[in-house]
Amino acid sequence: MPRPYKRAGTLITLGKAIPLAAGALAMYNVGTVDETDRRDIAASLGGDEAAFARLIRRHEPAVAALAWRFTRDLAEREELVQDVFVEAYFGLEGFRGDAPLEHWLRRIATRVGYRFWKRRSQRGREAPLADLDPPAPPGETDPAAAGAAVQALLSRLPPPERLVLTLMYFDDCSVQEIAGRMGWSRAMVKMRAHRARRRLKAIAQREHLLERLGWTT
Amino acid sequence: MDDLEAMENLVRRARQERPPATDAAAGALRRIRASAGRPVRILPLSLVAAAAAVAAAVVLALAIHAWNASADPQAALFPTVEVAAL
Repeated sequence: MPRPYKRAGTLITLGKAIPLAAGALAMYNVGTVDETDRRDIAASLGGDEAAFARLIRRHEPAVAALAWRFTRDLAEREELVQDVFVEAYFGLEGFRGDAPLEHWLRRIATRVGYRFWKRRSQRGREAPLADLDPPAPPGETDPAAAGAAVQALLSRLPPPERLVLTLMYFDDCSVQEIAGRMGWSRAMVKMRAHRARRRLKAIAQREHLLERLGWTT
Repeated sequence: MDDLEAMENLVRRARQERPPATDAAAGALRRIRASAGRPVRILPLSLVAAAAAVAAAVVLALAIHAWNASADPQAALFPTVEVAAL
């Protein structure tokens, strides 16, 4: 039975030893959170910088892989990953421990990435769609080139629709999971997915996707 | 193959992509230290709160003065009723 983790406290600063750390460890008697994570979370809440650095290193690949679907620019992605862990650090007290830490971090990463897209869409930036070079049959396309092409196409969608398809395509998210992650209703997620697919089809036709890919027969 | 099938094919290939590694730990910790050490600026908030309190006090004083100045506060509220009664 998961127990909500709540602790009265204000701002935790790194380097300050807070005597509640031992108590926090005892309160984390939840099976779903990895034991190593549980120890490091408790130590981080107690101000142990090294423990939080261990958490970052352990979960950075998953967060970075998700952030890669939000931007292919290395510097921007690095900043997004940092944003996720900074937000996670200051929200660590609110982590209830009823699901693995990685789920919680993915949720934060999704919201951070979504905010990034919304800011970017206000500036009207969208990735250019390049021809595949060299062209290859569908099953042999270079994964990086395919990734760039998919993201360029998705970047033409409004951020909410882009997010729904990105999470479905690249993070294996169900409608329920997307709704939970974003605080949207399931009906809204379904509607956005439907609209996004319809819009994407029109975009692919307008951009002559098949010809660009060399997949016309 | 239609455009959506082509898209799905691209997605299948794109999922096999291995993104380049990142090293965000040092940067994130630096930002956390900077944020945690930053003092909270309460002066602007205090000024707004003080101004709002002064304004509220003035309004209250005027309201009390007006209330006390009227001979029969209840009658003063409904002068039109008296006129209608005549």
